[in-house]
Parts: sequence; C-alpha cells; structure tokens
Amino acid sequence: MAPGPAAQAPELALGLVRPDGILTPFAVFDGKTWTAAWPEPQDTRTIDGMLERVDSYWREHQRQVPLTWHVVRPSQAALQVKVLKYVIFEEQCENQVGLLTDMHPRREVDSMSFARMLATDRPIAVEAPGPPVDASTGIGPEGRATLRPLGVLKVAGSAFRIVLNIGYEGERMSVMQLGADGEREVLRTRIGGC
Amino acid sequence: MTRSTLIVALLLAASSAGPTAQSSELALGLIRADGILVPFAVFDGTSWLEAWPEPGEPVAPDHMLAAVPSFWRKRQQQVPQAWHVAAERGAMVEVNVLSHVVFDEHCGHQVGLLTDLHPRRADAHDKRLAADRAVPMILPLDLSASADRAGWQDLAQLLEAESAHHENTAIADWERDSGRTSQLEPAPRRQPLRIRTLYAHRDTDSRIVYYEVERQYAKPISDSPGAEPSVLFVSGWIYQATGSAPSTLNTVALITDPDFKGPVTMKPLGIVRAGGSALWVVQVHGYESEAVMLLRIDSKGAHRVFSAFIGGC
Repeated sequence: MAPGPAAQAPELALGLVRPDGILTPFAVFDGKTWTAAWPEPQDTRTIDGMLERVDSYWREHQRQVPLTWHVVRPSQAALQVKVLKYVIFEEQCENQVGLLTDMHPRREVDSMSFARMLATDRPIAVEAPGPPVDASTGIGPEGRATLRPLGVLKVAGSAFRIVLNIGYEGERMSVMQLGADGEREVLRTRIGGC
Repeated sequence: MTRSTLIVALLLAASSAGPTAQSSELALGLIRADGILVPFAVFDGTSWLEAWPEPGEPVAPDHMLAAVPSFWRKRQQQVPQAWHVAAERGAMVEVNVLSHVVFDEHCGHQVGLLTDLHPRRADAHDKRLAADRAVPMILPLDLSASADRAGWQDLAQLLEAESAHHENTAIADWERDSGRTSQLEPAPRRQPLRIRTLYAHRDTDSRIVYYEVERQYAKPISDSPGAEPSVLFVSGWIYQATGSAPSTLNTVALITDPDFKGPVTMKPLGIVRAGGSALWVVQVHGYESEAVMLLRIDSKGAHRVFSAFIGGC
C-alpha cells in the first residue's frame, strides 16, 4: 500500500475480466489510498467453507463484494455485468478465486493476457490507455516483459494509469499515479505466474 | 433428508436394470443456468459408468483443476469440449467448454466445466440435460401448471383417484408407526387434491406420466405442541401400452410437514435412447440433497439404470 491523494473521494474498485467472464478484483481506492482488493493466486488453495469467504478487502471490512461491475471496452460504452457465483479457476500455474459474471463469454482469440479487460465497480470515465510497451530488459527470455496499459482514470483529483505487466513467468497489475514529474507506482499486485 | 436416506428412498422407489444392446459412447451432463456443466454418466456401449467425482468437502486443488479424476482422465482422454443442451421442442443448443472451475454445490465443492452458454443466469436450481453428442433428447410435456391437459385428462383423473386411495394408506401407516391417532380433519372437510407435478410423454407404443400430488390439511396429523398443519404427498408413474389399460407404478404416499422434509421429488429433464432403451433422466430432490437418475419405464415399473449424487448438506 502506498500513500495516495489527500482529498476524500468515493470508493472505487478495479477488477480484471477474462474472456470467459470470470472477474477478479485487484484494487480498491478507499478515497485516499489504493489497497489490494483480493488475495494473490496460490499453488494450493485449501477451501474452508463457502468460496464467498475469500479474504478480500470487503470481507475485512465486513461488507459485500460488489455484485455489479462495468467492463471498460475500447471505443464503446462500458458493459454492465452482474456477479452470479464465486468460482476457483486456474490462473496460469496457480489457482485463484474469481467472480463468475453474466458477461457474454467468448473463446480466447489472443493469449489470455491480451484478452483481459478492466472493470470498475461504478461507472467512471476511463480514457484510452495507449499501446502496449515493450519493457524487456534484453537479458534473454526471462527478461521479456510487456506493459499493457488498460486505461487512465481520474479520482480524487489525480490521474492513474492501470497497467498489466506481462512478464516471462508472471503477471502483475500496477496502479501508476501520473504527475507533472512523471509517474510512480502506488499499488502492485501479482495476478498469476508459473 | 440425508444423502443416505435419499439413496435408500431411491432404491426403494426403483429397481436396477441395465440396457444390453451395443451402441457408441455417450456422455451425459447437467448444465446449470450459470453455464457450469458437470458430466455425470457415460454409456460405453454396454453399461452406464460414473463420469465425474461426487462433490466433496473440503477441496484442496493442489494441482491443475483439469486433473479431476474423471472417466476420461482414467482413459487418458480429453474431457468432451462440445456439448449439446436439450431445449424446447427437441431443439439443441451447442455449448463449448472454456475452462475448469470449482464452485459451491450445496454444502460441498464440485469441479465443473465453465461453458459459453449464453445468457448466464444465477438460478442454481435450474439444470438442463446435456450430451456430448447431438443425440435426440426429448423433453416430456410439462403439464404441471397447465389448465389444458387435452389428451391426458383420463390419466390425470386416474392419478387423482389413485392418490385419494393411497391417502388412507398413508394415514394408516403414520398411525401404525407413531402409535398415535390421526388428528386430521374428516375427509369431507378436506381441501381438494392438487397436482403439483405432471410430466407426460407419448411414445410410439405407450403413454407415460410422472406425477406428484399434494393435499394441504387444515390441522396437523399429530397433537404435538407447535405442530404445523400436515400435507399429503403422493408420487408415482402411470404406464399405458397402446390398447391396454393404464397401470399405476411405484406409488409413494406419505403424510409430511409443510417443509416437505420427508418426500423425494423428481423433475424429468429429458428422455434419451441408449443401448436400445428409452431412458428418463430425472433430477431427484430430497430435503437437503440432490441426485440425478436414469430410469427405464415399462409396464412393471420405473427401473433405476444409473444414479449419481449431485450434492447435499
């Protein structure tokens, strides 16, 4: 967790939706700071009771996980989807809990990483993010990385770029705060790997 | 009703029998309204075999979910990726598997196949029959809420007469088992019987009906303090070969409470042909459990060919 803007703003949650309609929340802006919303995927996930008991931001605050989300689509209005059920699914080489939604599912046409979409738990303007950026370090396949910006949004008077970092053996989401002197990462959460 | 009680009830309600003729392999599954499909049986040309593990608790996926110990994994084959879902008027909808998922099934967990069924809905009770091949799947007529039972009125009258007859037996059974006297109102003051479930199918050489009937009483059958008004529940089958008189089969009648803790209810999901037999696929509900069964219906009764536990608490 990193400090964010000082002004109080309505809470905002971000999630990532797969083409099969499974949504995984990853970040919450609580009005001041960005916080991880959801546990990271695990090699082994022991289920204790109902899947709804996943240790999320909302469970910690004794609140219900948002049941309506708005999927950001390029050049189109956001698509409202509803949560139907909790599921465990395979996230690369690990297991993750996700929210099965009523989004019209489709088969992957690209790799899974490039087919995911950003979702928010309330309607909010999200600007086009720009093209993917090659962030490879040039030290062999292990150093390969692609930064895929998913959108730029404004909350509490600040702009944030949401970036999917696709590495050789793992992926993570970053929330980057944009400023006059560049951008800085205010939240990083791992979403899968091998 | 516990799982074991449900199984005993199913065994009492139907005897076992299996098809004998050879045919090619056929897998059946149940698809939920949210698009998750769970295979339950495979016909290998001779026998019906379990396709999938039962739901369990707790589940610890310490490996890939696709490694679920299924019929196909034991044979090192891929789970079918395309399925055909029974729809109205004999139509079928093809769905494709997107991924394996674990989900809550009653009080346990189950691995399922997430499909591209669209639209998805949240109703966990709505399950439809699916097959891995585009075989004919007949949906029996659902006349449960229909005012127009043309062509079936004679059998509807028969099942009501049968239910009224079995009511006396059910009350006598209760008195014998409890050692007490029924406190139900006299027969002339009782509400009429109500058909709550009525599924019908006309084949080339027969008519078949599955029914459930209830009667709400004004008083509880026992004089226990706090007892709620009782309910009569009757279920059974009617089989009529062309040119013969109809027969009532596998009739079950009992006095229960308004929560239906006692009865086992069924919902026919479709009729499929395999091994030379027409089989009714039925979703079976106990008070806190659920199963799926394949039944062969003939003049001697409803014969259980296969059953699988879906989930329970």
